[in-house]
Amino acid sequence: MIYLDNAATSYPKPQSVIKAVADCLQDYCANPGRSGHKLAIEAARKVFEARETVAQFFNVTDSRNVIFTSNATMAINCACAAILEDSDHVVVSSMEHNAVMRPLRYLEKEGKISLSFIESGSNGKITGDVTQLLQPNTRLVVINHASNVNGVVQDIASITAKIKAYNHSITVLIDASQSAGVLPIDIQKIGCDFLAFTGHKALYGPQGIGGLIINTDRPLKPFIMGGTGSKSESQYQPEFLPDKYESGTVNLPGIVGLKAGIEYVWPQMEKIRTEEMKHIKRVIECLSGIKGITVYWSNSFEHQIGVVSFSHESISCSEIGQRLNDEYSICVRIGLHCAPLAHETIGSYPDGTVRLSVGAFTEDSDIDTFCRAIEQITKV
Amino acid sequence: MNYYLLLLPSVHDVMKAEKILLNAGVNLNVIATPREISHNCGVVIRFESSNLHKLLALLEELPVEKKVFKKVDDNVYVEVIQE
Repeated sequence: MIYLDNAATSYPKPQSVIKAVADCLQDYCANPGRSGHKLAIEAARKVFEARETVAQFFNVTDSRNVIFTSNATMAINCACAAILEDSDHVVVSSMEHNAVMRPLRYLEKEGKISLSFIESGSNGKITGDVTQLLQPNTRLVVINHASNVNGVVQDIASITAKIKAYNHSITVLIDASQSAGVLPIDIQKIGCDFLAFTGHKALYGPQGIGGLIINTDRPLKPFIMGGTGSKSESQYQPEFLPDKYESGTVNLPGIVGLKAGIEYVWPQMEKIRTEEMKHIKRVIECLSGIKGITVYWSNSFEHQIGVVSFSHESISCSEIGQRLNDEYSICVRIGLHCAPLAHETIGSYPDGTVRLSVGAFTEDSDIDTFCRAIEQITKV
Repeated sequence: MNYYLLLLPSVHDVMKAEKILLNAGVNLNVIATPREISHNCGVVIRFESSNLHKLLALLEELPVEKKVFKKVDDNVYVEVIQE
């Protein structure tokens, strides 16, 4: 089996991640922060250590500003709920995933917010001047760091700097679902207020764990409220972090798996990226040489991650995906990838594309097999 | 040996304090919070009373409310200091 669907979820997972999750389930999977016995304290210690690791990885000054969520979607919803008020204006890039679009479209449909879109080229790269869209009631700008559809990378630091120079009180949320673990992310250098990430993609953790980095002192509303293990005498949500945003029992096996994943990827990010880009270059070369295929990517390796989409003029993406699976045991993802807006931007809506995404465990021979398979499938 | 208990707002703060103090060589135990002290957080740091000033100096970098208690009788605690 050849797995080329790492943008959906990375697979396989490093042995260190598997061991960390198994050790947790076997040795200390008590409820962190809810009891005072040895196992609960050990569990709390593991959560703390993981929070510190995440903070160091994204250069967050205080680890209490790392909020564990179940995924990036929950983190994005949490950030939107934390700051948006009725009559707010929100600006988004044209490459957003439905994790961003659905919560915002819901609020728009309810008549609570208005939306504007930053202009992009057909490669998805932002071309418009975001400051032209900013209004007196603009509360939030959301930028997708790296697209899950065509792998285009946005210059988030320079875009954030422009927004902040225009009006420092506008909140910037970066969706780093695809980029965390692939590209270095220093939240101090980016200067954004929120960063949402997931653990199960390029951080090589298990599914069901992600996080929201809070990099702002402004007052925020809680999203999910409930038991935190702290201030148990009070029926009101605590005001301090991370408890304010982390109600309910956390995903301890996921958290320790995320920590192990970060520890796996962090020391070799450059090496993995070099390999992934080598694979993606070969895929793009191979696909570009086949008559009838359109390749969707950033058109610049400097602004590209290991994700690329393509379509064929006469063979549907679902047929290509099915034949790759059935005849060659190659796993890819076809369709709209939960990102209809991004597909509209790059011109592949509503038919969608075949998406191929490489990872740390992709080998040269996997790409050889994929290229041969696609040549055979598209042979008339 | 006399012991004091350090009460902090959250479990995260207790874990952070534990890390700082252990790195500085302070002997401590994290134990369940006696109900007589607080329902605030599930755990507290128990430390030797002679380390009080050293502990508070080390924890200056932790910008949260700190309360220190000592046990004077069965189920009776008095607050030694609040910062």
